[in-house]
Amino acid sequence: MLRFLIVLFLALAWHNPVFAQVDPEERRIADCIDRYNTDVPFRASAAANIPENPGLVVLLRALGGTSTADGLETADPNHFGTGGRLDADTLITLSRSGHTRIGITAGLSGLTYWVPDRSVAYGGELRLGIGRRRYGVPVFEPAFLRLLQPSTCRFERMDLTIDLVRWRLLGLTDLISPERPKTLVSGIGLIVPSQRISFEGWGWKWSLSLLDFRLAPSFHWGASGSLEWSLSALVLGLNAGAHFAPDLRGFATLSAGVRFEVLEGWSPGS
Amino acid sequence: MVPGLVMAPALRSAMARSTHISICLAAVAIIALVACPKPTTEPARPTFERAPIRRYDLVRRGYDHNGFALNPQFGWHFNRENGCVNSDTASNPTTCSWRFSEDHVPTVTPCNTLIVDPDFSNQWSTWMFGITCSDSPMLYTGHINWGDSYRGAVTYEGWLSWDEYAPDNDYNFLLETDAQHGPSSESVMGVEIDEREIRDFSTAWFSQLHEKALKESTDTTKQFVGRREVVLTGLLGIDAEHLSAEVLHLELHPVYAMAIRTSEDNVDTDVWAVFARDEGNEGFCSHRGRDHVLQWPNQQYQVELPIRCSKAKIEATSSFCSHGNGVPEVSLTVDPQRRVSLVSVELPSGGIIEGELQLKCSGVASARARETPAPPAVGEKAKSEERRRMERWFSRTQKRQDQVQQDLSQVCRADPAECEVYRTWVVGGGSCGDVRTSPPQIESIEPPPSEPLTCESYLPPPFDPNKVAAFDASAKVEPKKPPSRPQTKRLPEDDYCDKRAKQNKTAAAICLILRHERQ
Repeated sequence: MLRFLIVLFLALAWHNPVFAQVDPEERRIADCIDRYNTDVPFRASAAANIPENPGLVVLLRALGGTSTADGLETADPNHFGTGGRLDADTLITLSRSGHTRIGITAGLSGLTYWVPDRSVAYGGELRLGIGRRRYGVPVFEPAFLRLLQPSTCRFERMDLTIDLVRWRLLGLTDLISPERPKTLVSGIGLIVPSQRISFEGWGWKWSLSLLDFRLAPSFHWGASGSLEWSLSALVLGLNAGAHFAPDLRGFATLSAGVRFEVLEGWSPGS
Repeated sequence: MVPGLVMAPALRSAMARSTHISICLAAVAIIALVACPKPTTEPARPTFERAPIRRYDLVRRGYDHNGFALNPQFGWHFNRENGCVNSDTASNPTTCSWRFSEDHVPTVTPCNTLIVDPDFSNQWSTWMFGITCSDSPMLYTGHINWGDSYRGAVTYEGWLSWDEYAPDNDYNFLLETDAQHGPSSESVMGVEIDEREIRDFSTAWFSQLHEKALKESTDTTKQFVGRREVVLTGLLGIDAEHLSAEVLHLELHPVYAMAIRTSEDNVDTDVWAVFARDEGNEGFCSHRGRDHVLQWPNQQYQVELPIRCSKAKIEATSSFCSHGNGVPEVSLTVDPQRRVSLVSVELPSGGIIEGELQLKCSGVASARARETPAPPAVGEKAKSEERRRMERWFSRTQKRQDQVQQDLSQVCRADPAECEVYRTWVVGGGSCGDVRTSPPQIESIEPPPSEPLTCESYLPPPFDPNKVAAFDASAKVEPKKPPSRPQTKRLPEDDYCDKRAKQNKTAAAICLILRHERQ
């Protein structure tokens, strides 16, 4: 996963636009920014498709993958599981400059994951962090994005978030043992960056969690990354990672679901 | 079975591949159809009457001796001053449409007739994460320049004062102009010069500035620079990262030529420190590694300087140094009637010249003595809240630079000899290359002619070589495109680190500190 992210990063870096003294691409971006600033109907049309500052982003997904959802709860990597997850995230704007907002991010998730004849888990996750939301004209458009959606002038919303803490709490029921004992599993993820870029009708997101710890019932350490691709409300995702301590194993889950942006987010001066 | 229908294995395989490709293409087509937005109907665009002069056209007040617009003013200011009926007199830069290309069709009043040039940040922190150069209410991530359409430069006369030594290694000055010389009534614009591009200057004033800016407090440097009469030729632009309805954030950046009077008022000798070059960068929020290259007409820089000392007899002396390519040639002309001097420099492509011109007055008081005009009373009022916000940011990064200085001095205490090598390598000792000079001439200097403009002039051409006396009309009259140059300039630090870091532990430590500073 890490290698994939490095390759992705290098590919993006390779696509860093290199202009001549002033090249047509730089003029196109400048003209597009001017259109954004002055063409009110055009801007309103884009805003209808990409809300500038949604109050709540809700994501409901079905999951399927290796035996555990995050590779931390059980030590049995040989079975497949399925589950569901509901995420709700918001940005509370503290400061605003033009169309850029900086504030506190908060998120709450509900999760269930079932490995047939092995285990079932129910729980949730609380996320707290800092975020920056920028709305406007992208200054970078790789060629393959233009291949997917040709445009001479598009808008985007970029949500850059660093979750300072992600705290998970799961009740894990062991289905193998006849007594079906329940264990409380507590985990914490620290400093988790993520970036979501939303274009008109589609978008993508990545996140990387290098400090993923299970704190109870015993200490484990892992790392994971995720990628998400959305087409309108449909979202496809991949979460993959590795569990480093005390033993080494990998895990991955695929997800498919729907994503909604509801309400208008609050920001100073709005 | 018909033999012709029996498929050879190779054909079957080819057909299978073809089916596979078809399925893939179909899948891609479905995804593309889903992903593609519905075709949108373009809104009807209003048409505009041709306005004589747009609000952010640059309207020259004359030409300098190089043929560049002299003290140009904004169209809205010109329209107001001349009472142009039915012309754009609004000054708000956020309610008009900036034209960056000829085929851009504006939906509101255009800001400009001739296209302006963008120079936006391509720093990874801007294009990948939008965390630098990305806070403009107008969304521009860098500079908007009155560039190629105006032959790449303009000249302003005014008063220069110190602002700060910025974290992107720029010397930041403020240029104050009065109502007759500025883009609008009593305006203040930024003047930025990358310290690394002029750090090895040996002329006393420039090397003292270098010492004070890098080693002493902002107040000391402010005191040293004071408010000095100056003639600047540079690329006029808007630092659009900070552009808003209230603040235009105008600047000359880069500066291609500067002539600053370093002597005080009412003395018998005028001293001017001068430099000229043909390239420079536009700082952090611009295209990294892009140097703006200016094509001086006939590779010649000329600047007319007023003679402020008041006695009749004038004696001119000069000392100049060259850096960069070629050997420049300097000639001086003094016009005792008009009380002006003309510095002419044959500047090879890629060359830099710096030096000092002394005009010593003696004898009886001249009846034609020019009075030294007082600087306009603008100064601090131009500093907006936005600028103060930037200053807070600068002060934070200044602390980081102080930390670097502390780290370096710690390393240097242990190995002063290596630090001396570093200092000589990087800071430079004020090198001085050859310059050819010819004896000063006493003769009349004709100002470049310029016909007065009216509301009906429409936008006058920014440059007409036939109207510039000093310009050789028989030579190339077509403005040339700037020559292309290598875009990435190596810094002395890079050379130092390449050569010394592997040989010497102290050098390795210094390079580590410098690398951290850049990150």
